[in-house]
Amino acid sequence: MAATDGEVYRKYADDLTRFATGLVGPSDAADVVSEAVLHCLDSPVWVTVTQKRAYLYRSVYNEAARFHRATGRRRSREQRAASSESVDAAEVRPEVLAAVVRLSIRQRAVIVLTYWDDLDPTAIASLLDISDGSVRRHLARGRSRLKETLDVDD
Amino acid sequence: MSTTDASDSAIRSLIAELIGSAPQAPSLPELDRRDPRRPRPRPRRVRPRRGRYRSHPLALLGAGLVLLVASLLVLVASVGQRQPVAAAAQLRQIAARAAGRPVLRLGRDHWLLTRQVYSTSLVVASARSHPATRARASVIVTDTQWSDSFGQACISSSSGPARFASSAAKTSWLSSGLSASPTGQPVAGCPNFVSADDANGFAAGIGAVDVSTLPRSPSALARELRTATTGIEGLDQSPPGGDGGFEQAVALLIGPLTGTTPSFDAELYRALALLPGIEQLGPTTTQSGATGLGFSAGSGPDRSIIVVDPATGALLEARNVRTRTALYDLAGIGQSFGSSNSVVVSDGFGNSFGKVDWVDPVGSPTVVDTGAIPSDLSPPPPPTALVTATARRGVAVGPLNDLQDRLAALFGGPGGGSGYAPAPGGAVLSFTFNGSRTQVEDYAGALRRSALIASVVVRFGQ
Repeated sequence: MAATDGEVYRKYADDLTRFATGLVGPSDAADVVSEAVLHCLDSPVWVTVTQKRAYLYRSVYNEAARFHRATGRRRSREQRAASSESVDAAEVRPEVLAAVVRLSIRQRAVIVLTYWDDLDPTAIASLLDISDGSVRRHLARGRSRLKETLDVDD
Repeated sequence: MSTTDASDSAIRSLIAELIGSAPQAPSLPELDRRDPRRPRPRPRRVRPRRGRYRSHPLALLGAGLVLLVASLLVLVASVGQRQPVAAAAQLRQIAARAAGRPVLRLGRDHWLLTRQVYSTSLVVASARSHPATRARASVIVTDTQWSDSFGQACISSSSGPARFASSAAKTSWLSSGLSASPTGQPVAGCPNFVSADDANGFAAGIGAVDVSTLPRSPSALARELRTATTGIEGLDQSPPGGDGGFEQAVALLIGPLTGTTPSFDAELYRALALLPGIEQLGPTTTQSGATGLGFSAGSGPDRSIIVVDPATGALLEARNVRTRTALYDLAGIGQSFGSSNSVVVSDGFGNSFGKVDWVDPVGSPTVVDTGAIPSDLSPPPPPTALVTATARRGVAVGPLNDLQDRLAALFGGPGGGSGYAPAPGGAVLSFTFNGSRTQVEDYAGALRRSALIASVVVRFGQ
């Protein structure tokens, strides 16, 4: 019997949330996953999808990219407008966020899948539906930027 | 160790720290509310558009100009909207602090003990047509409430003396045959609101609202609050007004609630951040002298306001909001001052009916045994069962009423309930049964077999 939408989601929920955390940070990860999954399951092609895991990962990636575009400028305005009595979102060290924020969304995705999920470039290419070469290029650039931020020399 | 290994190790640590901060995966109960047999739209066949459009230099220039003008318009428009944007940022930051709140579990003989103090305005109805002679007073009411997980509740309500803004108001009040001091305090009892829809009903029930069926996604929650489609009749029935879901969100902040998760408050604040027209008021002092951050929806003197502790996300005070408790207390307060019908809470019977000037949810909810409720209140035993049915998407109220009539004729009607609350995943029906377990099982079985119903959840109390 085919798994229900709820069962499919629960199977991958934790992995998707961790992936989203790597893409947009802990504050917005749950939002991104929720939106991605709901859009995904509302899609007319969902019933025909055979590789549900990869489809969900790509959906989270696309939602994170959309979120990044839509809220990037607004967020910076919000932070400036938030007055001094505001509270800090003390969830992860600022240095960590500062390092990751220098990466593009695609570089973050490739870095997270490489260093957290231990996937090789071919597997990442298959998961994100991009070319092998593109994965290697984004991985190299992402590593290079992180090393600059972390002040580690090759 | 090579430098490459060192940098890889540093990156791996950094990513591990970032991923280690991942929140709990959002539970999406709306997925389980979906009808698995619902036909999905067929995939659209997209035809390739090869060679259909050719770019022309002039067309590109025109498109560029249009984009430039649009960007300038957006920039100009955004200048006047900084305040709401800042409110959203503040609410998201408060949400981060509100996460991880311990959840209170209610067992069979457990009750949620909550307290609140509120101030409400009383106006003599017979004088409403003569504003100059209007008899107006404000009263501070202290409520202690016990709520179980089946929607039942007991309440002890104590009114303070009437306070008047002017001697003319006092004279008018007294000349209407009302006293300045309440009698027979406190007014206490366990109202016979056995039905789940009454219990959840904003306009009637005072029992705890079960929020376990609300979506965990803040954007989905905001959408349901805004469109009054939460599936919780009490929330959905409150007048939509112009605050775009703010009043519904405030009702959830005030509580009492059951079925929460540790992240519920955080999700609610994140949903609040997505509602339209929320403004921040900066540091705001409550009636009790506490200081928090104020937020409002809408504009003008009638706007609703909440004051929130930014460090914990706790609601310190809500102003100019309707509360279920005030609506319930209304008759009792009027009688305490010597009138059954001539006193109304707030100014009129419209959307302001039942509004409080301010409400302070005192302290935090605690769980107590039945024995902790004053014996003179005679708390009711749990019902036999609470049955919640979700209709298939798009099924209207008429066929559902017919179904309930047929089932009542076959198995006997439920003790209460039969509320109908629209929700994106299908209308929600709630029934409370006080009869035999067999009756509940037969009724629920027939609901499950019905083509109109997508899912049925039965929770036995006895």
